[in-house]
Amino acid sequence: MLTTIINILIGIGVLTGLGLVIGFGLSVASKVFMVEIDPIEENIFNALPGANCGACGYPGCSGYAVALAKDNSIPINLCSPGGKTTLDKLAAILSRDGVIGEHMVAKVCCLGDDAIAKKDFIFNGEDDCFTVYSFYKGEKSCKYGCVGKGSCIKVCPVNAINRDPLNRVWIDSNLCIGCEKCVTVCPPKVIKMFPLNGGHFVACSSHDNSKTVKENCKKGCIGCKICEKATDNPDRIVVTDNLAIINYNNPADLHTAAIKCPANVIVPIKTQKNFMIEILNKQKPT
Amino acid sequence: MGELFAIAIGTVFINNFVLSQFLGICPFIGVSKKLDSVLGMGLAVIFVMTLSSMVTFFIYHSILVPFNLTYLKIIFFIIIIAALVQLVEIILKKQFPFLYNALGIYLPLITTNCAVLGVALINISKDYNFLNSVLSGFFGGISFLVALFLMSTIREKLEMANIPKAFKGIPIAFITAGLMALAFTAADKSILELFK
Repeated sequence: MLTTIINILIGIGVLTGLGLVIGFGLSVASKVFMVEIDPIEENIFNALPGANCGACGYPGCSGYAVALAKDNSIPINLCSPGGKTTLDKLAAILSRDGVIGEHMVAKVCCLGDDAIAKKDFIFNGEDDCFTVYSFYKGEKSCKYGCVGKGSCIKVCPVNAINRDPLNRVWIDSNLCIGCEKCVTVCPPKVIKMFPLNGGHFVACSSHDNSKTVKENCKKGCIGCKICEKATDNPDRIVVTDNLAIINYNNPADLHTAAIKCPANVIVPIKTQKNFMIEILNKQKPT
Repeated sequence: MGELFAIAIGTVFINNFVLSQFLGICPFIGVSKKLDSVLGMGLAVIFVMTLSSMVTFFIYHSILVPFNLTYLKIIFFIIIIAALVQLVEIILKKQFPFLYNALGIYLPLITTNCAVLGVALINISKDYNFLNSVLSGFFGGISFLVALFLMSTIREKLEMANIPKAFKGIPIAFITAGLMALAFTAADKSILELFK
């Protein structure tokens, strides 16, 4: 009986001793080997929005904070999600000036959906743009257009990308933070960046001739040059290779061109949401 | 030399920690999603397994056996290994930031991993001497890396496959792991005969 109790006590004693030794040892070690975090680095990290989107080109917000604290030559205006507020904070912390770049948003330059765009075949496999794109560059006859499987939706950190019931993909400008993740992931490169205050953008990427475009899709730029004439300035919209391209350095009015476009593919950037809801409602009865 | 060779082949193929002994399934499923993370995790496991087989050997033979406390070996090893990994992490963070960035996030994952504890207990049950214990720990880590590597390459391909929705992700990973374990049963002691 006594030996049993002694054995139990030995076990308890040894384990308690072990716990004490290890606990004490670890706390000493953490003091001895403590890594001092640069207070500037910590301040910068707190000033950043914490979206970890990688738009600045560094691995997450902490990567950008480390780089900024170390190197004075790195520009402080790389954080597009943070915008003006973050830039002001960073300028205060580092006492450096920086000019805010224009707020860019991503836009899908294609309006073709299942109802209006002709398809060569129907893909019955996985819902993934890369898989579908590897077969004859996607289902649609138009090989410049959006694949419509929504791989960009999966990478968007702020859920700004929508997919209609008819598989038309579009991006909400109010939510887009301009991290360009969807731009890199899109296999046909149909997502491009536009300045938020630029007015309108051309929602088509097709370089096919007008006959082919008309056959393939009801909402395609046919290169008719009506928009070129509708703007007062000859430099504002230029049709090159059967596709209208808007020059954003030119302030001339785009509204008339947008209305006159026969295919209706010149879409407002800021209020694209309303525009998309409108065309979706129009299509519903048919 | 022949014995060391037997340990190497034995732990990597015949008694593969994941696919034959079913130890360390949690990180095996959790980390095998992408090939990029496999190397970091595998190296961290090799490192911790080798280190813990060394330390537990000394603890067992210099403390537990003389004081007749062998019945406490499991709880002892858990505490020792967890503390050891913690200590290594602290030291790495200070002295080798580069190594810490590569292994750092995986180290806390495997502090109380059953494969790491398993290698210590197996060493003792097989009565290995010091050199054999260390080798068994090292090759145990390699066996984990091999299983993880095979699994991640298969899973990256599975991402592209057309699987029924209910099986997507973890379920198909478990089925795959089961089939791999079946394949590994082909490796038994007769392999060692080939090298004799």
